[in-house]
Amino acid sequence: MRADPDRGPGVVGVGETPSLRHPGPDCSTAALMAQAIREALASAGLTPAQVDGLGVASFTLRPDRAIDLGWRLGLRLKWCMQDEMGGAGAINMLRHAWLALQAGQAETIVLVAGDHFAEADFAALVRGYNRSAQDYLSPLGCAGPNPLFAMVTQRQMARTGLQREDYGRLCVAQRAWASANPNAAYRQPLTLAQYLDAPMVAPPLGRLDCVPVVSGASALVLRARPEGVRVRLLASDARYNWDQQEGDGLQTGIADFAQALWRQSGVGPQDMDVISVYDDYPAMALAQLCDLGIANAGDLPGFIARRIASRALPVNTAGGQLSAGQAGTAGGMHGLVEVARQLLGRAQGRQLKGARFGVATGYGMVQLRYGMCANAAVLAREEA
Amino acid sequence: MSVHISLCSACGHRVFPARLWCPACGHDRMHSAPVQAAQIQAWTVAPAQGSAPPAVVATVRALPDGPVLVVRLEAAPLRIGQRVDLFERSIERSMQGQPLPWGRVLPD
Repeated sequence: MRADPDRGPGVVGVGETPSLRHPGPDCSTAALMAQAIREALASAGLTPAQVDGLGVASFTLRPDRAIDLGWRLGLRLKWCMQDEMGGAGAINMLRHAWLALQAGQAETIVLVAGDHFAEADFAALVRGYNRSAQDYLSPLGCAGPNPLFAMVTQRQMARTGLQREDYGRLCVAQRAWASANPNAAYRQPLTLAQYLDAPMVAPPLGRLDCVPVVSGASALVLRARPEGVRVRLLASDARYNWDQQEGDGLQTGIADFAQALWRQSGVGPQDMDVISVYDDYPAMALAQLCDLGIANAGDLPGFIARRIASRALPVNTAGGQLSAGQAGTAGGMHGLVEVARQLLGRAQGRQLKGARFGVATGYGMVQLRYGMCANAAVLAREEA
Repeated sequence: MSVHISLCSACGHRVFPARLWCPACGHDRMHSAPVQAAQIQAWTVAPAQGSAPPAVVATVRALPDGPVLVVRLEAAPLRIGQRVDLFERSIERSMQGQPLPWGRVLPD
């Protein structure tokens, strides 16, 4: 998909709640979403009355749906959608919203993703995530995504020579980025020794390879004809169920479209000033960096040492989900919000100087063995 | 000893568990076929869940023609590539009464 190069929509605002590890008794999914939307609108200088489009992704908003949230926020809408693509939901909604704005279906669209979990809610969610999980994997003793991605990680280690220390260096680097994100769940420095000493969850995955479950919400505001600083979608693509779960999980669907994505965007991996890859596990962050052509699967340990550990390459600059936390579906929007925030120049203490181009990926909806859904968006800063 | 997989009646494509339509050809009829020998591609130990103990689970490829299945193992293997014998075991709340795929690691 190629956006109109002359005059087109733009992302004009971003908002994100703090990632709450221990939310209070009054916390709710809808309230978190309202908080993120309010911040996003304020950052764009807009009022709720100007919003005429709403896209919502959530596991825990139920029994409310997107339009119920719209009603509770007092929004009058011309465009409304609900997404259930998990970690691929944010970019899925972005792609829909972009077309809607281009087609004149709405002027100002808010996209929001968020979830509020109590401990038991999350366990119940993953245990019955879909029919395969509910009827097959969970009763087998393979509940939730950790055991599946432990096996993907084991295969990646066998294939690439990666060691636990290498994954640890990625986690340590993301924690260092998180230190400048006041919303991150974990901000204190992490050492490689702490990573290696963390308890095993499902070998080879330790505690710090698994995203902390938090409550929170993230939001984006898009306008059909924005003025001033905004972020344009240069190109995007997606693959949903691209390999029928018959591959090895070490490549995502991004590998299938990356070349065309870069060609359509008119820029390349080397031009990216900020990168967000979906980091439900370090192995998947690395897989997507390879799929995008940013890393080479032939030398991942070297890539981590030279580019990631040194933070020479700005990847997951708000800490990613590994340090900022995974607030359910908001985990899929966290990276997109961070790229947009950097390109808008609103990242404050962690602002990357002169950031013009960025890429964000989404990944998720675990089926039998790994995620079915992957997408990516290449974005650019525009002014005046 | 075997696990019953699903074989497309039109093209012979093999999947587990059964789908509505064949992912290879789109046909909607399939029949059951037994597989017994398999080879380990990856394994882990899933943490205990409530009263359930930790579980050794593995991704295995049925020999010689697939498919790839996630199975429960009786005990942890030693290495990728080890052979397993597949068998079915019924557990409460599983696949609407269908048995689940288990494997027994064979000595080298």
